[in-house]
Amino acid sequence: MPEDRTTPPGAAVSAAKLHVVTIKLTSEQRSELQRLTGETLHELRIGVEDLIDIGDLVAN
Amino acid sequence: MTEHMQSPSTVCGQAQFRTDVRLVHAPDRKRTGLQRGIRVVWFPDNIGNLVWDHGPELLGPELRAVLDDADMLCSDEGVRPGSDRNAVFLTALCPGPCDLARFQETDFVIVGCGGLGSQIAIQLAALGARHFMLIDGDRIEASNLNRLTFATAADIGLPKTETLKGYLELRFGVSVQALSEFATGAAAVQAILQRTRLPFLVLAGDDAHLARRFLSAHHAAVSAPPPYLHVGYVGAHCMAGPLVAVAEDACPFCGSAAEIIADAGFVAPSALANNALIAGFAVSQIAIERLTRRSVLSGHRWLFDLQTGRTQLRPILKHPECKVCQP
Repeated sequence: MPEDRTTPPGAAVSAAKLHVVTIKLTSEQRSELQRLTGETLHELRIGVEDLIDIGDLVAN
Repeated sequence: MTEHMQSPSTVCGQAQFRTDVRLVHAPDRKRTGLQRGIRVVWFPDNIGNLVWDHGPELLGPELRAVLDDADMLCSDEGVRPGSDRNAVFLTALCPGPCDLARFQETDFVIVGCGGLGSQIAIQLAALGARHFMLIDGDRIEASNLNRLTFATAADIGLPKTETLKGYLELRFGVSVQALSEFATGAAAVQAILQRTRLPFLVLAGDDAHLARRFLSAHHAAVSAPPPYLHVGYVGAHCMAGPLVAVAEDACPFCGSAAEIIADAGFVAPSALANNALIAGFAVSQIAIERLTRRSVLSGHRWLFDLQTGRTQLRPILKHPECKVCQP
């Protein structure tokens, strides 16, 4: 059975730098995500972060 | 994931993001994110991959609004496939208005198709250039293979121009003319003027004597000769410039290289890594000049010291009695 869970908040990121947005999923979005991931999500917590450490900005 | 392995829906999803957005993974591997500049939009687990592959519509207008706030989405006109992806890279080089058609319609004339010239041709083609003329009398030798990315052992003995022509046509679908002889002077200049409509020359040969003869003929041929960029090595330095677009611009021989050569016994080798370094900078500058008709390399030579990491943008003054560029 697919796991039924609520998305955990972003770990290891300072809350002061992270703005969290919660998106309630519609039944269609839930179905599509379940099809793609095998998991049942009711909402999605998205973190918007502005990086301040230049080490995080170095791209490959 | 390389593009040819992606499904149509995958390509469609990524195409909805601006070109400088990238998919990132948190060090703890518990989150995936979409990053542009200093801003990252984090998703739990691998949901970032799904959004990246399927586009923001996967999770509805709320997610679209979040990504739009982060300025990560293409505008409608940016979602077209094909060369428009190159346009996004090109326009990112120029903050103001620019002329994309001028870049795409330019005939890039590569004078010297060795490790450096070929690298520049390949990078230009990858950026959306469509027309090339390749000039070089050399043939591929076994000792060249460590820096000719377009050639294999099966190509040893073949003209560099023909082999590079085949590679560019097959890999990028571009139009290529090959002239398998050295650009020794007036004949080469006439061939360029006759066979091209909007030429831009890249002088990437390793023979300064040949370059001097060729440029003397180039400047003497017409009152407003086609623009060109000189690239190569001077002593310990990788070099790009000057870029000569108008009669008032100093040519490579207006200044002396002696002071640069004298500063170290080390001579920068024409290794693949060094060639790619020069080519990367040169191609950006060529693109900017094509798009805006301006260049920081006008009257300047960019030098990068491989040993110390120091860079310079050294001015070159127009010499009133230069035997190369003054009629």
